[in-house]
Amino acid sequence: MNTVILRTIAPALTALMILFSLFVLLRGHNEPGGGFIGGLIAASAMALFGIASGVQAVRRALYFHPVSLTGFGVLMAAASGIPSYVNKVPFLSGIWWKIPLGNGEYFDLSTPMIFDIGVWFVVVGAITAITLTLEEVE
Amino acid sequence: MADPNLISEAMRTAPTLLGEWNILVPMLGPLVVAAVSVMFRGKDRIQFSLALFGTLIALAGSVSLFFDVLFNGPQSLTMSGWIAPYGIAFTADMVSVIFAFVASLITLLIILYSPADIDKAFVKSGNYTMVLILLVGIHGSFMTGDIFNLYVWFEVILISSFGLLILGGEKIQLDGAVKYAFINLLGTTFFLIAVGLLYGITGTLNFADLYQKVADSDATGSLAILSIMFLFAFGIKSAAFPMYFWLPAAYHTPRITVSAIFGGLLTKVGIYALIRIFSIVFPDGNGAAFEIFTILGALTVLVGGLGSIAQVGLRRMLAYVLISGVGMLMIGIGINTPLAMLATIQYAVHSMLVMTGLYLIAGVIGRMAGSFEISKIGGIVMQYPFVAICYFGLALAVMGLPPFSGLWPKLMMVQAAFMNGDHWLVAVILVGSFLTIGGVGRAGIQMIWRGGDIDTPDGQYEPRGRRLEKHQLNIMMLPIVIIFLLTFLLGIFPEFLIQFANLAAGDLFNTDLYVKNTLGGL
Repeated sequence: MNTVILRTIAPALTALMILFSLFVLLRGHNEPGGGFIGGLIAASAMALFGIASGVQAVRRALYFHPVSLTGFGVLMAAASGIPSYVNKVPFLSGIWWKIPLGNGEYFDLSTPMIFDIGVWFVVVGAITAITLTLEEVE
Repeated sequence: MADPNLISEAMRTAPTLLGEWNILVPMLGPLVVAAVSVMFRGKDRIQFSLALFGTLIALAGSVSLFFDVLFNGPQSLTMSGWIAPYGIAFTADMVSVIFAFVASLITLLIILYSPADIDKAFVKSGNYTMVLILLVGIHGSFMTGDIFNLYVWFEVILISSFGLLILGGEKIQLDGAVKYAFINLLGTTFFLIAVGLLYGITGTLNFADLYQKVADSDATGSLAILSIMFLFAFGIKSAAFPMYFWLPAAYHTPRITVSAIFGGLLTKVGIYALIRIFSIVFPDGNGAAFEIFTILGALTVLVGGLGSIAQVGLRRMLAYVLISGVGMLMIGIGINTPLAMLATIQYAVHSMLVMTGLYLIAGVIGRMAGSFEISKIGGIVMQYPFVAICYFGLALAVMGLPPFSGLWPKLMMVQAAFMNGDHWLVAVILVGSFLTIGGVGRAGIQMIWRGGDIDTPDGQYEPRGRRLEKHQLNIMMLPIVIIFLLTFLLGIFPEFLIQFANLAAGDLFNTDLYVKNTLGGL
């Protein structure tokens, strides 16, 4: 699989796929998408990069161990329920904050989004850990 | 039902009091700590402290929830602002909090024991993380007020227990894990199918709502079949008679702390699910379920007792003693009177404590002798009289002899069987206890009194194995001594536990409070 074409195109494709995965993740609340699908796209980007440039390159690029990313994702998803405590609503209630962007527009930050980002991390971490291990064995 | 456009009727508007969050602490605490410990999985030094911290949070949460339920009745919280039958509810009554408290306590004791049993490689592979996640799943099963969520928590338990079973990756472990995984997945699948069919008949998954819908339903035939499917599914989980064989095949393969946590907690989660489902979803048994309970329970008691006599391995012997205890619990559920439920809950607490203690002390004995074969262990009374005393006490407890905690629930079970007119059950309970005396007592005589391994003549003292380091022995004995003292105190002052178990049994027969708290007085 280590052809010149793949090695040349893979970094660019990986970057594009991760960008797309973030796009899918963020539009997930109202339209098709979300943390799980976005995470799968990002994980396939990692797998592609691993096939082209080797597992070591992916591990270096990720910096954190993929399984640690999973732990962080779970932590984030659990933490998304905590603002409910302050607002005196039941656990995991959706809470929205409107953050002004300065030009009259608002950015809707919400606990479902934090939860979704947590899911994204869990999926990226778990799938990448599996694929990297499989690629290492080959 | 309200107008579907009025979504606000399904939403909660009253503010959530901070005390209502209490029910989440035993799950959320260990979950967050487990997530942190996954992030630092390579750092074996802090893994133990994290596990200890997470378990302490769970213990504190379940103690505080215990008092909450004791003073204010069942507690309930429905997630994310929906009202109960639509949203996912967590409801804790006295049964839940008693089980949850004992589960946290046992996990804490096992974590305290772990440094002597678990080496660095296991810690780095995530032993403590998986124990924490197992605790999350166990607490979730005890607290959930929703039958589908019960399935989800069972999956959480299954996944972490698979991980714990195969840590180390020896051939025999994989062999045990395959049996464990296959038969438990079968049980879970049956459970899921039954949940789907139940939803098809009643249109709800919430326990409190099911209580009303099942009682009003005309589909008695289908519901009777469903109740048997639940019985089958949880019979597998709790290792009841025809489906028990996976337990002795799997529980003797992993590290002893893993055996202890499985033996102490996992089968009791199955029993808890049976108690919950057959007290609130099928309170009248829908036909033959309770008779089947007593018959299966009786067979389980006898098979467990006979198996414990037949086994030559210490851990396999304990597995059969555990199965015998499961049978006793099934008999209690089958008799289904307040006295029998009181005995069942008390026996469950006793069995969780004592089985954990026995597995832990088996770990000490196995470490000394270098083997878990009873024929190769000997000379313990000469080498470590203190260990011998602890084994003797725990053995008396599991047999149901005074002055330990096993006596009272068995006595009450016998009384409940007499009062119900089930004289044959009395015979089964007593014969089962007698068989357990045979199994545990024989192992004790051989391991403790005999001077060395099986060919050592009487009066000679030639122990095998090696002496343990002092500090290692201290770490291992501390949890065992705590369990020993607890079972002794519960034997001397049984009314302490009986008063709470009595309230729990009351909650099981008076489900109105549970329903009212979950559905908000609908």
